[in-house]
Amino acid sequence: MTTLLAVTIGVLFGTGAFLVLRRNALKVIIGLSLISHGANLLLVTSGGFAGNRPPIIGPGGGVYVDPLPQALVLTAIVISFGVTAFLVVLLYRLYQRTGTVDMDQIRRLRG
Amino acid sequence: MILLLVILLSPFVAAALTPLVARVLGTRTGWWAAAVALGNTLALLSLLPDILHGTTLTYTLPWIPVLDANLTLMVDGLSLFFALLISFAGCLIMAYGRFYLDPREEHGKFFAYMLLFMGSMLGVVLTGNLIALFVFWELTSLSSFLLIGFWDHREASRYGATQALLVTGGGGMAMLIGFILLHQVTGSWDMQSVLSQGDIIRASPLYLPILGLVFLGCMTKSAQTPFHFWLPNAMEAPTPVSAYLHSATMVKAGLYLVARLHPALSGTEAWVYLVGGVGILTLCVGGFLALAQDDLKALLAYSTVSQLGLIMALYGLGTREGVVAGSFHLMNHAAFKAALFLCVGNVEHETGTRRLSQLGGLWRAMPWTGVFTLVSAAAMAGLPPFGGFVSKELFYAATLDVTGGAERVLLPVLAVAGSAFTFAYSLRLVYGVFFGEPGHPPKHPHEAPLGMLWSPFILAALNPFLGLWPAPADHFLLEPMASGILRQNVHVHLALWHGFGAPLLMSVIAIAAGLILYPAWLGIQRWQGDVFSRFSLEGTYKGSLQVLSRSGRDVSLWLQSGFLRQYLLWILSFLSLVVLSTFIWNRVSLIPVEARSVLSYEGILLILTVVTTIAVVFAPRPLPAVILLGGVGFLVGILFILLYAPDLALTQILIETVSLVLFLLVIYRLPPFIPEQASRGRLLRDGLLATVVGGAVSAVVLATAGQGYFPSIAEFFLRESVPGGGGRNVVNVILIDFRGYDTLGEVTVLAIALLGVFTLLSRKDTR
Repeated sequence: MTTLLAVTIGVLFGTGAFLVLRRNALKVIIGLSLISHGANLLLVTSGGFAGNRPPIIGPGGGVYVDPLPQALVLTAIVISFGVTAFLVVLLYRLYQRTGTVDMDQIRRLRG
Repeated sequence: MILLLVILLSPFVAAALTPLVARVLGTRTGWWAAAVALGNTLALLSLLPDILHGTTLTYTLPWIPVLDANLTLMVDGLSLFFALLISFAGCLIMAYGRFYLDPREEHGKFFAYMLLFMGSMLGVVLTGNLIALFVFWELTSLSSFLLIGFWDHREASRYGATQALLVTGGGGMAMLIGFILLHQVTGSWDMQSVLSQGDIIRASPLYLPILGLVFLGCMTKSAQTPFHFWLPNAMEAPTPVSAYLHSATMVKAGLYLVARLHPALSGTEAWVYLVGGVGILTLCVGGFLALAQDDLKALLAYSTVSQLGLIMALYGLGTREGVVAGSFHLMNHAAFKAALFLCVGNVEHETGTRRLSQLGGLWRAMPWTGVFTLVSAAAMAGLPPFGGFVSKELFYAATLDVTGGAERVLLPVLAVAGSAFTFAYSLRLVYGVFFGEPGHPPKHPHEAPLGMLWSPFILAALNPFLGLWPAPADHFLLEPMASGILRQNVHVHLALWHGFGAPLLMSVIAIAAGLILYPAWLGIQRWQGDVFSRFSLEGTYKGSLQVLSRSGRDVSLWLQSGFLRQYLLWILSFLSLVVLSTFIWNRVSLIPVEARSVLSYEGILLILTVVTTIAVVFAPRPLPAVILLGGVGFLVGILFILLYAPDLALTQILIETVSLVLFLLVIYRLPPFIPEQASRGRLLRDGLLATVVGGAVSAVVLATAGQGYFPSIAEFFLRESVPGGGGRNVVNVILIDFRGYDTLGEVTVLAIALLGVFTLLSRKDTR
């Protein structure tokens, strides 16, 4: 399980890294989303696999998993949504104004 | 002694108040500054009885106790002498400055800087901690920058100020490294402790680097050859600044440190050759350069270089006689050189020029300034009955005491040569300005106002006093000072007349040689222009500044290209490098802790996630790319269920739906992907980097997941959730209760993003 998860998270990060290095701004945003998915999974796995039931207090046996990384990740998901939403709208306006989504061309448009 | 702290802080407080005071006092602000300095002088004098008893006063204000960096104040004879010099000279010069400055100039600014400098300088000599010493040392460089550049509308002022800052600041950096090495050897930043470990320091293999680096700081500050070039350029400062910083105090900071560290560093051949050698060389070079200057302040600047070299040479001898003679000459120099600067200030103020070629025959017009100049210059030249004569005799005697090979002959010869130059330029100064053919200055000369005569009078009057009746200075200042340097009780008996002997003969030879040299100044002037400018380090200074600024620009254009891609490339490469090198360096095991085996549906889910993620890269158009991204998001949501995180799964799926809708709304208005324009090489590089990044992150997961390197605080939350937070869903309780402020922050971020989105969308397009 750990090995497979490690590979999945690695692929999310690697793919994201490749995409943020592209010239198309939409690909950069998609890359950032992939990286944040990877980061969220990474955080949850750092809590370990010691437990076998969700951290909701109730009757019955079993070990609860660590609730703290989950709380952190919940915040992270919401914040990365805020960032993505802002970036998407920014990209939209940028394209309306400049007629391009190419990062290199946008860079040359300053002034 | 809390009084020590008051003495140190009062100039800083006064400097902060000066702009307010200047609103009330206007052009009389100088009195305020002088009063502060006078108060400090009196407070310091009250410490004298304790010092005469041989006590060392201390006061410690903890700053960063863990790092042993404290504001330790330590006053012994050496510190007290310097502190008195700084305060007393400051008082006289600031009173003078009140008349020197034009009423239209910003008195508040000027005296605030002066007080700031005075405080910094007091800090240098009063502190007993190496770190604090360094801080105050750099503060003097900074405040001298402000003072030299006071007339900031002049190009030359700005150049001189920057140069002084860079040269002395650069030396300060070297000194800091020296201090750090010193700490490595002694294990202490405390001055007293360092000074008591002289034998350990001298035996250490780091001794030579320490000596070299610390002395580099002293050399730059005290304008020793080959770093003497900044001092004449600093003469662009207003004359009171030159008198204060560049004769009486700041340039003596290097001498102070050499004297202070005497017990820790002296007593080796390296010390004698380095400190003594540089000093005697500076004595001759400075004297030689001074003789041929046309600008009076440049003449005084080179003369200061030369005299500082003399004192440095005396400290460099490492003998008791050397220390006594050096300290006494330091006193004399402060008196005669500050007086000379103020006299030159009077001449400049009243004639409108300080060019020797435009001056002459001022004796009748400016008799008082003339007398003060004559007395001070005679003291500088080493004529009886002034203090300068006594210290010059001591200097000769000390050079004759040296044992050894070549230096036994060389040192006295160079001493006489340097003194001959001193005599010649002193003669040129007095004769050229006050006697001979009347010059043609821009203004019709007359005597300076009374306010500008008091300070040079007091300073000049000290010279015959120090020569004819040296006992008070001897007992109250020189003995405690020499005892402080050597850290043992020293008894000195100074007298004007030492009888007929070798030193007197050397004096006579020096004066005779000076008389011969004097008429040759014109020839020397021509020769200096060609030869000496070529050997000056100033060319190196300018060249290295150019190289620095050009390469700085190149490097930052290369690093800060303005392309996001470039920055990400750096960040990602560095991240991978740090992670992987740490893993390899520490041989971290990557064999994971397998909590349980993979169930078949879990495996399928994970493989599906991997495939979908990779497919995003190859999506031909924006629409499939966004849909695949949504797919990854939903798969991650399901993975959260497998990881026993139902809340995360819910949130993820909800958020992913909203994101997807948003993407889809925008996507129809965006252009299609154009075929990849990047070269094959760049694609390969990015692909490689992506693989490395992915590998590094996988390694992190393998190494950390489930390892339990440190105990989790989960226990607390699970235990306290119901009784403390009143909820069974622990994740929810953490979010809204235990870490409620985090959630508040999160909401704020969302609100800001919302505002951003709203602003972007509501603006009418202007294109």
